[in-house]
Amino acid sequence: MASTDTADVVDWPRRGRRGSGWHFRNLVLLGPAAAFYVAFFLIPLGLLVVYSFYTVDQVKLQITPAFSGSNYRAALSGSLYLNVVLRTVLLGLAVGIVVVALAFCFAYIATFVFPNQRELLLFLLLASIFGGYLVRIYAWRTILGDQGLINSLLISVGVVNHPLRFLLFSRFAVLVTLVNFLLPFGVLPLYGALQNVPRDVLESARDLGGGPVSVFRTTLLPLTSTGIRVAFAFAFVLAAGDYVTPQLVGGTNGIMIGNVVADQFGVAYNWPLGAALAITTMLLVLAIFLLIGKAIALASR
Amino acid sequence: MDESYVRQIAERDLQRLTRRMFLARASGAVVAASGGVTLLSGWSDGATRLAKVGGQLVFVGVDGEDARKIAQPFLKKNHVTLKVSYIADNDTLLTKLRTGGDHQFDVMTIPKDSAPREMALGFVQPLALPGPSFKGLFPGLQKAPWITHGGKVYGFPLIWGSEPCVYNPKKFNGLPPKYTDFADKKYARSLTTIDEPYGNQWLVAKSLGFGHNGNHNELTQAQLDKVRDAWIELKKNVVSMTAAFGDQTDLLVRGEASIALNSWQAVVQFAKAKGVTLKYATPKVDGTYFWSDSYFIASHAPNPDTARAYISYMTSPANNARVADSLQSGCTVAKAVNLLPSSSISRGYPYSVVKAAPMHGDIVRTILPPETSQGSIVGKDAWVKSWEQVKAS
Amino acid sequence: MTLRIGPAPRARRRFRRWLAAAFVVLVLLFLFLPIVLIVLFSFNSSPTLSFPISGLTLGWYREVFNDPLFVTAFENSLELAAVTAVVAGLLGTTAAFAVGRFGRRFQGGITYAVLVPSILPVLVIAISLAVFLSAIGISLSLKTAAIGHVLIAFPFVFLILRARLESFDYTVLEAARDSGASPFRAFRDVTLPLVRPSIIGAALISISLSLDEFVITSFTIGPDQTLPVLIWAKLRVGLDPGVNALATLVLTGTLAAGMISYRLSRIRL
Repeated sequence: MASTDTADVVDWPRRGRRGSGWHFRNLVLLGPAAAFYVAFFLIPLGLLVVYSFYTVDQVKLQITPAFSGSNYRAALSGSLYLNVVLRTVLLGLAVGIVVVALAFCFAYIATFVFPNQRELLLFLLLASIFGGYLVRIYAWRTILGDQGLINSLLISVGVVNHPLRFLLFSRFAVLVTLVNFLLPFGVLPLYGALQNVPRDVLESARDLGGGPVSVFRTTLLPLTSTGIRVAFAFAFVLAAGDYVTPQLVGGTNGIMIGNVVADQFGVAYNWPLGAALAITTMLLVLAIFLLIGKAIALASR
Repeated sequence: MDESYVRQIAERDLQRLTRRMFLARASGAVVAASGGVTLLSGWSDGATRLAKVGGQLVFVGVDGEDARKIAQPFLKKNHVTLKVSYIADNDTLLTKLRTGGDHQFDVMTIPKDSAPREMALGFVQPLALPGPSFKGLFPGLQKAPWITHGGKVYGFPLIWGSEPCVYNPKKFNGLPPKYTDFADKKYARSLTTIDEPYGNQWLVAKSLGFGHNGNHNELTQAQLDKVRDAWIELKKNVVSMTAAFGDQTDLLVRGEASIALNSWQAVVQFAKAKGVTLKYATPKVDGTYFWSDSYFIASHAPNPDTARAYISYMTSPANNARVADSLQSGCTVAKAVNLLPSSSISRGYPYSVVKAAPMHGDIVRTILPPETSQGSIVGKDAWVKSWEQVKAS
Repeated sequence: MTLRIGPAPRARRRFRRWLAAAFVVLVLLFLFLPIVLIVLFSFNSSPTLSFPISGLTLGWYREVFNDPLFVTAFENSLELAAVTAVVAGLLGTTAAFAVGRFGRRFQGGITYAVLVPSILPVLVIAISLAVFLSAIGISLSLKTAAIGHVLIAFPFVFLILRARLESFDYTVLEAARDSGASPFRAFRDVTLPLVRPSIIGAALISISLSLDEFVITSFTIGPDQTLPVLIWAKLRVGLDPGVNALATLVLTGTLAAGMISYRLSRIRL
């Protein structure tokens, strides 16, 4: 059985317990990244957490250090914010599932069905990311609009008489646009993970007569579970945090938690409330990840 | 980190001497000593000869208001490099000012409803512009409440206008008399508006007859709730709420929407450039509100003399006419009106409004609700929450 | 039900391959459709961003190159992208290798910790970073924007590498070490080529994230401009087709860079 214990990397002489990362050389490797993280993320984040307990004096435009949980109370109660958070999470889940499904198929095909062309396929996939973000959203308007590509095509061929209105300024449009942008992000980790699956293991699983579902569950899923979790994380997180796409193509259903937070840091000038909302959302999303991670772990047993 | 340090940051203690401020003062002293400077005012026309003018000028404001092309002769003659930073909405400016912008920006353009706050918070410095240039403004604007604070003048208005609706004449002949009429079925999938909580709700509040003395920004919670419900009805006919006017123009040009509420005359111009004819108008019974943008200089601007020279140049009658015309807005300098191209939309503005000194009527009213609730009158946060409820419905 | 033993019959295999090929082609079409439109419209002589195509022109490109604001923003964006790719790439890769040495639970926890910057709304990170930096007296400039970009890109690089290293087959490495190779050579000749596609992919993701990033940038860059910040601000007055030309330029530029780095990465030094 191939050794999968990363302690066997054998880049350094083994010392102490197996699986222990606390050697000097290892810590030196980890050092710069950790230092950067602490300095430029944890400390500003700490500032934010502190802010979230303050209140704001709108007249003097000062953030008053009156330590109170009122912002969190406002964030958690009231149907408005919960409604919006729910909406955001659902969108993220939908995008995450679609992206992971498509990305897995793509990565699988690239690795096992057309292995000689896999680097080309990967390159083409990554090339599509460079189309940009904002400009691409406008291109989708041209594709999905009432006088856009799809509607013109359908009408000229005679499939429909009136333009399909649900294509643009709808949740459908948001889903399509986000999946279009995030698919490459989902493929990369899955591709990497699938490289670790030995071909012969896969073939013998198939030869033993299992259908594709059981092959997936018994062979692929355990070996690629991190890849799946990472791909889902990318898609979910980026989709749930995006409020520009819903604003541009989502029509009047486009409000996401990002909009609300932006309002608090902008027009409302209520940084503490914005901070509290952001932190609450973050904790919720982390909770969802934990659940999904457990679900995947259970499914691969 | 301990509480007191955090409190210091949070309260933006301007007494603390940072490295930046120290260097700025030191370099200023060096320049003054070596240059032997005088600030000269050749305010009569744009041809200023200022010894200390030059270097880099940082402009922060709305796209188009820097008027780079119009400023070209000034920039070239004085060897000034214009560094322009656009912000898509005015609230970002406040955040940027809080995070060090007041030491990095020179010239800013700020709308009239936000300006009092910027002045009160000390983010801008007095203009100290006596002389013909300032006197060239319309009398009413010279005494505008949003450019003075504590008896000193801080701002110099550059353009003004009203907030009309813009519509596609091929789809609709005209506008209904009241904003609430837009909830009618015949406007289904035709409307669009800017995503902002104040102007939109102000217009509907006016339409519903709330507020008194023409001030529709002071509402009770019950009235605000009715405004919100009216907007939820309107929203059924709205295709999309856009972040900015460019996006709004895009929708109208593509034909995805036909009427833009809470719009800007310049949108007609933008659409014309894309080959689509639009018209602007205002609902007869309800009318609309006024806005005005003014130049301000940041309180610790790195290059204030060049900033003053730039403002002076841009507000000569000829240049003010050019700037106003390019943005389809009203001129602020009296002599500029006759210098406008004969076909310019800017000619059609009701200039009597700004001639009267002091000004009265809608132009001096603000659409912004009070910062905090006062008695039964709700404050800004209630308006923001109400608008979010509209969006989430 | 009888047990099927042995590989599937040839016809079914060929059908599956055909199906797989169709899927891949459809996905790529889906991904490139908006890009094709962008490139097409960058040559469209009519200034609308929609059909019909009234004529072809290079005018938009000329306008882009003549406008000093565009050019500066473009340069700034490229600089930032390069710095982000290198710094985030190094930090993410080294951290991914280092974290691999720790226990399973620690690794799981790190995954979540690393994702936190991505879960928080970008705006919030942008403002807290800007406030923090100005509080400690660092003035905002291109350098501070780079910090923001690396912060955004780092989780992606790290996680992509982790997914690759998770169940990496170390027997080849062991074999190399057993035949006497030094740790450095073993790493260079065995590990590196195998993880190279992931590293390059992660670097390309960093570049694209940096090139598209306008929220953190607009708060941490001070008075400078980058491309996406410019485009976002131009939304205010009118999305002119020049942005299509810009997008096409960025696309060709990054593709060229991608292809060059791809060729270079295959050279064995």
